[in-house]
Amino acid sequence: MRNVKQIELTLENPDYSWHIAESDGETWVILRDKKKLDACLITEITDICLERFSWEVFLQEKEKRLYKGTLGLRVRCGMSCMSDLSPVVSDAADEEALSRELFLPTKKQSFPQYQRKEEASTLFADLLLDSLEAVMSPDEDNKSGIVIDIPWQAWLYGDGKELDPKLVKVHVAQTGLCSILLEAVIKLEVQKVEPSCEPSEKNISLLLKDEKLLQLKDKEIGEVVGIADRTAFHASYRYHGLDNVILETMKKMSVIFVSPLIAQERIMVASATAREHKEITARQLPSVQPVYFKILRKSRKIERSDSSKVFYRDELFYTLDYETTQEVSADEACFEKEDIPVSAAVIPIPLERQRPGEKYLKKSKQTKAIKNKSSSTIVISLRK
Amino acid sequence: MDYIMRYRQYPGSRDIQQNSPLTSVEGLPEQLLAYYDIKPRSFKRRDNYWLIDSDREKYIIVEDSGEIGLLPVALGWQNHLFSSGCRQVLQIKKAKTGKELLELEDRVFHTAVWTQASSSLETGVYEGQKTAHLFAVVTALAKLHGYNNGYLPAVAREISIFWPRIIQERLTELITCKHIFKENKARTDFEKIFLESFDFFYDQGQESLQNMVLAGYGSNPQLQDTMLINSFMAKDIFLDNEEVLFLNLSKWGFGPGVMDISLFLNSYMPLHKWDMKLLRELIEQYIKHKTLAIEERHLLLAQLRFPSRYWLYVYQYCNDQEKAPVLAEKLKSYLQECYWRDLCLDNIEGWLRKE
Repeated sequence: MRNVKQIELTLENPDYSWHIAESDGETWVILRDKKKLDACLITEITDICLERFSWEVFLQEKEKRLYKGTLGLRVRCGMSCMSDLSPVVSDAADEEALSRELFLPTKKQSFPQYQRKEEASTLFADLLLDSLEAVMSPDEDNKSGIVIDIPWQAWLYGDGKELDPKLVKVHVAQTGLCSILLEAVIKLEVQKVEPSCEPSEKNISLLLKDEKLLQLKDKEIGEVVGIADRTAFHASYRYHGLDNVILETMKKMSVIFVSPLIAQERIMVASATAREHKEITARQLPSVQPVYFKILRKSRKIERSDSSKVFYRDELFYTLDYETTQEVSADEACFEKEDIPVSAAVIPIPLERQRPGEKYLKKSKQTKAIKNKSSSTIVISLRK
Repeated sequence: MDYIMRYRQYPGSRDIQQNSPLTSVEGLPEQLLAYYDIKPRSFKRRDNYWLIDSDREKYIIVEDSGEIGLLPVALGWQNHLFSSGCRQVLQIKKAKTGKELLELEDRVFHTAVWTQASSSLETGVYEGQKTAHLFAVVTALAKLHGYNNGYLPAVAREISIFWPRIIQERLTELITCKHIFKENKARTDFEKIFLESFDFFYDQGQESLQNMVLAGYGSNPQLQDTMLINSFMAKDIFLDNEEVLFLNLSKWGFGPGVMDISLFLNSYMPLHKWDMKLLRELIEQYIKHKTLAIEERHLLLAQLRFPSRYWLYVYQYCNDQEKAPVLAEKLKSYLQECYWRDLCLDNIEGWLRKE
């Protein structure tokens, strides 16, 4: 992978109850919730059933739409009641004596600095499922387990026909003796529409490749679920004497991945923001700034190159529009055409009133200057 | 049981005589017995105790651990108790040099005269799972506290122990650990269980403090400081025919007398699933021999409620004194045990607080 741009990712904190990664044409919605059971210990996680997965397009605007929905999952687990358990208590006397000894002020104790520890194995159960099909359908006869409902809403940006939201991943883990963590990934997307590649003076589309190597330090990437990238602050430059037009954008890239560490948050997002430039040969282009330019993805290939690196290659359409189809109306343009009358007048300032007793004071040169002062005021009036 | 006989060899060819004095006792420095002028015929060993049967009397030799500077205080207290008529401790025997403590080969020993009929440390084993043993120890403890009679050595008066402040400091340490584990995303099972159960245990700690305030700790004359045994490990208790001996006072402390009874109950009630009826009977048994004022009962509740082992496990975790998976299992077990304890204490609270 020579000459591939390397970008370092930063791990984002796993947010509750939602964590959104937006892209042009795609939105990745990560839902999270934790539930604690009372007076029961979880011994295993048996299965997950889909109770409900509903959505609606609540609001639609040009090139964006707001989705609202609810995801409900039933988690069945093996449980034991506290009252049925038999804890190990044989060392109670020795430990009580030791804690009493350490409590005494004669023994100066200080809590040391925290040292990060890692564990190879865990007591706790973990279940990761791919796609909606892997999650079992609800069994009408079996209503055991706990139901976790998570409402969600998210924007989807992009032109094109919206596709049905997909439940891409479901993860359930035990994060304590009686705590359950639920994570789910929903993908919203629009059907990609390829721009026309027919050359025209006013509308140019170019297919360009973009390759990057994304690296995440100090964290292992188990499986890549997707990459969301969003561009903003589009700008274009053309330097004097050069034939190229430089297109500049700010791009935020987010890798949604599954961590190999179990019994904790596993569906993670790591992001990086970078400024990107593309040079386009400008011989055929008008010598004015394009009205706007758009970037549409034709295809993407993602590879995990090792445990902390992700390589991706995009084929992108860069579309430059030099002519807008929308005309400016006569009403909106009126301010450009009308002559605005300007008039000027000279208005004298009222003289400053003398201070009490000033007439008895020694007169200085300054006093004469105050008497002779005047001002000019220019009045501009706007008439329709 | 270690049981070794060595026979004294006389010059020339002599028959080996049985029950001859031993030249040495396994595990003890050779010159120790000479310091006490003890000629052992047999001995039995249990942990750090040697029960020596000599031609004159029986003795128990104790190897002491802990801070050597505090051991004379323990022996002074033991002397006071014995001379006051307390038969739950043994009489200290001084060495020929006049000292009560001997330091030999970097080890520290003291000796006491064994007065029990039984000469076997094996038969006199205290077992916490036997309710009869619990009652015997509670009775002995009440009697021993009765013999304290305000005895408080000078060193104890110099050290200031204010238990509400100690409890508050421990609670502050628990909060600090909670924040640290949260910031570091609770990587291990122990940290996850700790965070999950934090609110429960912290509330218990706060309730403990509340009871100390109700007891008027620090201002109430009913809660005078006295000498405490401060440790009830099974190996340090000898019990035979309901007669109890406290063999080791070296872990001594001082505070109101209920600190001892609460430590004893916290040590052995888990073996009985915090049986409410048993707990109540044990406390009543103690009260039969030594009354408890209402302030002492509040303090007893405070000490029973405080989750000492929750603090101990996180202390051991942060200090790397025990492996994380082992502590995770212990904490899980303790959480289950405290479920019983909580129910038990909720039920007897009303009874205990009544005048």
